[in-house]
Amino acid sequence: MCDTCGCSDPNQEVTIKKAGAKIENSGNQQHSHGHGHSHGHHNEPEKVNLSQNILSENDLLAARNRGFFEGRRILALNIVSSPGSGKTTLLEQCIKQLKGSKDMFVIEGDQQTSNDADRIVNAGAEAVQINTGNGCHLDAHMIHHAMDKIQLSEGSILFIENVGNLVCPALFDLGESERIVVISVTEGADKPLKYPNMFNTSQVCVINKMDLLPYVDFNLDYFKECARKINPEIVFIETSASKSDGIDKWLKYLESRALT
Amino acid sequence: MHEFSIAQTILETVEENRDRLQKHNVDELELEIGKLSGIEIDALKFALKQLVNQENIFVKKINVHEIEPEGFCKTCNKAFKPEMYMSYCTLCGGFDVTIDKGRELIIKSITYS
Repeated sequence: MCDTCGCSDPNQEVTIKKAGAKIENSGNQQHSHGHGHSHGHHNEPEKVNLSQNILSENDLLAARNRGFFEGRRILALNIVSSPGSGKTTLLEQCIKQLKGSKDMFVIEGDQQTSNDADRIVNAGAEAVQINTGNGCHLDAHMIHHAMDKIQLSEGSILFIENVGNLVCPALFDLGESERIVVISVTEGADKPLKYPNMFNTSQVCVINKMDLLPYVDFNLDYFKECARKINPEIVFIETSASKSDGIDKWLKYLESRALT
Repeated sequence: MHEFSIAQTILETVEENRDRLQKHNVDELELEIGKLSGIEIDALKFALKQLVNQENIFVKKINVHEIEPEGFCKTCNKAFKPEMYMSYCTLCGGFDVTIDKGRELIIKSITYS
């Protein structure tokens, strides 16, 4: 079996489809894994010194995606968080406000369902849903295939909403311009210390559900202190996405990063 | 369980080289995994063993070298040992640091027979 693309297990296949469309095929069906081998009679031990980066294939594909984005001045943002922090709501609000003035596209990653892609389409942007089956993260290969399903326009913004998971997506470069980690104040303030890899590899941290701060035991200063211990350069944006509060700060950030 | 994807990628490399060299078995698979790489070595070994059984590859020994983190502080000009993922110097508390070792995810060698 292949955990990343599930190509040998049709029940757990990664599926990529444009929101509203039927699943036509797996995005990853065309590659072979070369399981055949010949049986020579060379039984003397042979050591192959590789010193090869295990993620080199993903990193190469990510570099290819990045080149594609940069060549078309596309701002590609990889949005990561634990499940339920408000990533999709943040994107919905942002799409509603920027609709008409900026082309926006969304690649949605979830294990199952196209619920999030449907929400994005209702908000007014084109979306592609990747269902990872058993997979716990998106990789550069999936993004490469998802881009076949949409025509990204020059100067647009591509939001890649990763699978809700603060662990696995940290390792996989997708070719994004920046990585955004979203946290909500209903989570623990020590999360950066518990999931350091994610905070270490993100450039921006959106602190969402700020409207709930008076009702929960979340020490904002302590949270920021923890995050800065892991990543001194990290930039904070405070929002209450469901109330549209702070979306202006998020839009200002997008504007500052727009590739011109 | 991203260790499963990592294990899958490792075994693809194992198979590619096995086929190229026309060998049958793997006597030793040697990996270098940094302590800051985000990989749990036990989970990776478990995933490798599961996949080896499923894919019918015979691997005699999996040897994982764990790489200790090493950093250098440009403020106090000294090498230091980073405390897990903390991005500051453990000697002077400075933030102008580089993490030079500990993020490795490397297939060092594969010995076939």
